[in-house]
Amino acid sequence: METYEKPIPKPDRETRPFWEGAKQQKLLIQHCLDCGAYQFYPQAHCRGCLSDRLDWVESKGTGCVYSYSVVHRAPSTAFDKDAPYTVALIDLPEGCRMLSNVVEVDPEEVRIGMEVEVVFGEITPEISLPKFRPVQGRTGSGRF
Amino acid sequence: MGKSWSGEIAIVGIGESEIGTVPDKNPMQLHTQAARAALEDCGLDKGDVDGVLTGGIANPLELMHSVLVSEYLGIQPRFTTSMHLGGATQIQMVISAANAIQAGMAEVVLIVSADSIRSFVGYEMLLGMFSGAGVTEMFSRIGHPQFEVPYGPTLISTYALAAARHMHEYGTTVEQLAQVAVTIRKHAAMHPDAQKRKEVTIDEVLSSKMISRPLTKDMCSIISDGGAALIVTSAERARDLKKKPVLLLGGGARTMRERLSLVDDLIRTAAVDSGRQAYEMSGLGPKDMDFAEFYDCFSITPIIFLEDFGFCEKGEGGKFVEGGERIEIGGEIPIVTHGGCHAHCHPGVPSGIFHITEAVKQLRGEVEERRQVKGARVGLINGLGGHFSSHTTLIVGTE
Ligand SMILES: [Zn+2]
Repeated sequence: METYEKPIPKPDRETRPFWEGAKQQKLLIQHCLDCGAYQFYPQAHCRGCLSDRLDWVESKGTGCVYSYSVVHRAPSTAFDKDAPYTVALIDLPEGCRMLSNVVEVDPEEVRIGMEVEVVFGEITPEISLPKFRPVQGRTGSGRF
Repeated sequence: MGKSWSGEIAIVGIGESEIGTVPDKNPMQLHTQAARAALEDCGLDKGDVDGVLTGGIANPLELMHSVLVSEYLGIQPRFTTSMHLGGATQIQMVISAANAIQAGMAEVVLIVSADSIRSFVGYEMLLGMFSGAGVTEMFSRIGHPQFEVPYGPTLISTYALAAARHMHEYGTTVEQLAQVAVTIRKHAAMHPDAQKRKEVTIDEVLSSKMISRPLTKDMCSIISDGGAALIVTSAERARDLKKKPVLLLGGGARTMRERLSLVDDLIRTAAVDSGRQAYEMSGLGPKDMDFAEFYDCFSITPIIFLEDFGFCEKGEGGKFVEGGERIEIGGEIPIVTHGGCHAHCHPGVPSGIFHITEAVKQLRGEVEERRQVKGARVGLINGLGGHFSSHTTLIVGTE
């Protein structure tokens, strides 16, 4: 297996449950026990009411492409071999939005409004990175 | 509500350093060139300066930046700080200077911002700590380290996402995006100091290298060395100085979010709120503006700002720029008359200060005749930092 050279998330106190969930193929977001808001990205306090009583709940794992761009000029050499790749903002049904990649599809076929579902790629034994693929995923390069 | 400073504070001096590729000056020297030129421009002495604001530089090892700059200039200001709002910083510094002068906390404020991100002069220590690729990597690590960076976004892709969404919702075309670059380059071609002085066609813009679709290389900022300085004081003090004062008529600011995933709407920005505040303070509206120095880091932003500042309806920015006649010098609302981040000078964060010096020059009637907006009396300038994160607006005029 080739070494993974792209940046690897380093879980911290505020985010560890997210990455533990991802390892089990679960997309976890936070749910505020005081005001009921859902939030992503995770942090120790609710951005709506500042409560620290936050639960982790599993997102449905589906989403919709809010916008996307095909990156031709990568930010660093580690991403060069992936280019062109798709960076996208994905709206989750719980009302949160994630920045991610749309994978398992030719970048030319990605569309705004496209229905997608989460797919986890194990990049290290500790970290599985959630990405999205079109629902009824066509077979693509499989490149993660 | 506090007392408005509309009409009571003025920009009295402007100065620019060498710009473009400056392989023999570090950021401190560039700051000093600009500051010295601004003092000469208004006839004040550095001993008159009791406020210093800076925008920092890209080198994260430089702490207490405004104090270091003051020290280099031999000034011990009572009012000083360094601000970090990306491309919105410069206008926020002008607003803060006005606040301090109005409150009696300073009388003459020097605002100065410069950097060396093309030649990286003065970055030896940073470059010694990281390899060359390491520095590129460091600057490329924009966004949340766990939830954004691992996916390979770039600052350019942020604006590409906005452009793609604008195209999706309103039918804006890549030709319209390219027209923004074409017009800005046309203005730069008339500017003797602009870094890129060659005019381009829509086809050339579209066939330049694809960076992050739909944005091609010619729709992005250039990379430069350089900077500029402003001297701000009360309109009363301005009366005895060398040049016609340019009055601050209105100012406004509003932030959105720094993390891209938290920005609700990439194409209806807080420039609306920032603009409304500035319009209300000045008692003026978009129809009163003779020019608009929009922050043009990427070709999509002027299209969004034409809408958000009320020059056209939301969604019509693409049609507004078509053909270029309405946004060029001589048109309905000339934008980015100096060539902006696209072609004049973009040393990173400091680039927005040239939008201000250009507005001052236009209002003084100091630019070359063909670039001069005829009868310019009032202009709008805006700033934008990060991922649509911070928005600032300034309305300036001669009366
Ligand atoms: Zn809450």
